[in-house]
Amino acid sequence: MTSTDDVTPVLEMRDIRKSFPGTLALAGANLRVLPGEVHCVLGENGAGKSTLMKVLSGSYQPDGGEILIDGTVVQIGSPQQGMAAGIAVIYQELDLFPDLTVAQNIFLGHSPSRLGMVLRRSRRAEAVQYLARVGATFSPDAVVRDLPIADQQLTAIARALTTHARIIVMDEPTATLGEADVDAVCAVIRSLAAEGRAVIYISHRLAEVEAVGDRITVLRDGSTVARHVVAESTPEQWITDMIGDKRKELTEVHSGAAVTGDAHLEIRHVRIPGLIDVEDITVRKGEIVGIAGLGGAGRTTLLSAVFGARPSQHSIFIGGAPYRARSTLAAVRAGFGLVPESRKAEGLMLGLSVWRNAGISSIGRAPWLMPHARGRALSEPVIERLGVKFARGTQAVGELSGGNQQKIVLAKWLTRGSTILLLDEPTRGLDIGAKADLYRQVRLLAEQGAAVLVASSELGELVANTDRIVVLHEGRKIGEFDPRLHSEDTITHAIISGKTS
Amino acid sequence: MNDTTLIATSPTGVPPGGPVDRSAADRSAAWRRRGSSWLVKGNLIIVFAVIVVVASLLSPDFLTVRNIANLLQQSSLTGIIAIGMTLVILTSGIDLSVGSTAALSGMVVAIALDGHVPIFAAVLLSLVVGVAIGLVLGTISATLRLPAFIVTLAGLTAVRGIAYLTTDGRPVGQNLPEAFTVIGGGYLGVVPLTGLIFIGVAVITAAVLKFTTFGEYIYAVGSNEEAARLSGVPVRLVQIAVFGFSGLTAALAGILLTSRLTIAQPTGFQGAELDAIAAVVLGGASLFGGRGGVGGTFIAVLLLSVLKNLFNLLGIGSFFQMVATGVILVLALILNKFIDARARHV
Repeated sequence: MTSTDDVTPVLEMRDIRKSFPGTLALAGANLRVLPGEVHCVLGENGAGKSTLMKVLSGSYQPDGGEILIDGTVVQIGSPQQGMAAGIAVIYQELDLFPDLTVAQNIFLGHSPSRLGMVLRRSRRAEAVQYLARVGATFSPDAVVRDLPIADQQLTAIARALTTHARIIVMDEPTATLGEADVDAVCAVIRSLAAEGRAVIYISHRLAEVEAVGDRITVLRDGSTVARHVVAESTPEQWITDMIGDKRKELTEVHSGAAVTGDAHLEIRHVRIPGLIDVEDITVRKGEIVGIAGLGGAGRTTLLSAVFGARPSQHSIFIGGAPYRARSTLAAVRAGFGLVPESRKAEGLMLGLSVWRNAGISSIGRAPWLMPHARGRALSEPVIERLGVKFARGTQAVGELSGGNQQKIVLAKWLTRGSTILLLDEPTRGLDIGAKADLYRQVRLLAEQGAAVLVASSELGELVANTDRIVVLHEGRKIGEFDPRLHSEDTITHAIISGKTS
Repeated sequence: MNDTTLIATSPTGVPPGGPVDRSAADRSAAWRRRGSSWLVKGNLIIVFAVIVVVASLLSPDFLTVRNIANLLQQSSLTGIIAIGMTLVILTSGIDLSVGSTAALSGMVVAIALDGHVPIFAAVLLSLVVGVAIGLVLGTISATLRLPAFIVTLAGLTAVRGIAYLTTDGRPVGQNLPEAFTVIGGGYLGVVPLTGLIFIGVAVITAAVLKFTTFGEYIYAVGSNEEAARLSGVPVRLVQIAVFGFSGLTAALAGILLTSRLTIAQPTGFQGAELDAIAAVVLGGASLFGGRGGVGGTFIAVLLLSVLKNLFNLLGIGSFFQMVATGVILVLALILNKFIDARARHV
């Protein structure tokens, strides 16, 4: 830590706390940002980075703590107030309007106008100026949808400049960019800082942080645990701070004996150009294999490709026989069951009843009659075994709690008799009790002979509940760990750095 | 990024599941819910009953056998089309081509009969034409992921054009065999045959929806297409099939009209798609799919024709009728929405 206390920070967040039902997202986070610096915020999945930025932008209201801008306490009650206070946030999923032109996007909501008429010519002229400042070479008349991602990124930055933002937050701006584009965006970030603006930069790519950052704040489990000056520290130190001393935590490790036998599911390779290139993942019968990785590492993409929900080049074997992931129907017939990332959008038909949801994958067989009675007869014992709580089987599944909804998604596949389960973030949004219960059920299924692949951004869960952990990094498998042998910090190190040293 | 705290889980004991024991308070809430849901399902029948009572009070001619038979006769053709439309709307699709398809099928059957094709073969040919149109439009919409609204709007224009082209716009079928015309114009006792066919189509379709896997898939696709796909439901096949079925019912209606009028005109069934959609929505189906059924559509079709019949008996002009029908349609939908919202909040 250096003596920067004599400069008034443009932004100071003190002891910010924020909790959501079931989780404490921020437990006293501090952030001090000086004018003219690029300040990087680092942390694992779930460390609280995004929540902190949403508090700053006014999207979330903190439960405690205070925010100071130029040394004065401010209340940021809404994103509008955040903007008025000089804060602009550029999200990873750019919130641009794809069908409007660049100039329209840049000045949306505050176009130069007279008597309610937009002054197109002066808007265009001003847009040209702002684009020049971010080093953009495309026309302001271009439609955003037609631009490459990097240029859309620059459009978003130009828009932030028009609101005269003095604090610009960039949430993983380079996650979807290639090498050359990253350099361009980094150059713009440096020039913004040179103008005296403060840039808060969130990225998982430590090389970029080294290239573009001035100082670093590290978050862990919702608290600020370290501050560094980039030039005076090394990525190794940052990683150590991000991981913390995991050995002190009482993480339970699945204590069962290692599962032996032949691979039931054998993924030789799955390739989607530009997204993932994963090789060599095997799952035995009775085994639960975890897939760990940062956001964007390709966990969800891998599972949906294996399930046939998106096209890929692949070589996959089930019980030694080749399997083609042509369609979801083919996957279901081959014995797969997918518990998707978003149970509401992809897992359930919320308006239909508990029994109809649980039975939907099991009724597609001769004689193709009496779906309700058959679905109910098949699913009722499964639902009971899973311990789902509900009032009536005819109740709409949307009325159940998150944990019980997730069990219905699982029940859908157990009713069908699926032998290979693909679980994508199965505990998202569940409270601790429901999480434990879900994993207990999954373990029971494995003991009955199912092969299970679980993708999760919460490593603690995978360590506690899986037999092996495969680590993905930027779309590739970089290693495999045994939670009984490897410590959580070793695995976290691999997840963040992409190296298995 | 998922910002939740890292939590290590530990297995805990879980009490057995299944329907939870309910306290007295819960039970009364359940009763209230059941009462409301009955009101939601039953409100259309109540409205229908009220209108029938009002009609019989206002006009002594209303509750005569002759008038009722007429009523069933008039509503049956739109009704048959609306039954097919119900399945399409349940999958969250829409079929605007049905009126044109009905007109074309009516022309085809008349042309075939004029060419001395046997009645059975002519009817079958006409039905095949209807199904084929539905399947083509459904396939374009489902496989290319184009909005059904636009694809079937194109179908509406193109198929109507084909109907005109078959005879260059002239009516056809001046010498239809009597064995054919009796289907659309005949009676079984006092009941018109077309009414019986309408009831038959409704019952069969309701059974398909309730008692077959295909029917369940229709609700699944309409309720959440992505979840259905990820559950292994053949989503596109289902979408194509409902359009095929809609084409089938439209063709049936076309054949019956030709049979009843003993002549086929390419101008028939103008705007029939809108009448059908109105009936389906009035019957309680959601245009977003997944909610509704044949029963609601059936009642709604009768309701709309009773209204029309009532206006006619009262001697109200057709221009005013159009306005009144529109207003009543909107009022019924508002009532539906209101009761529905209350049912959700119980």
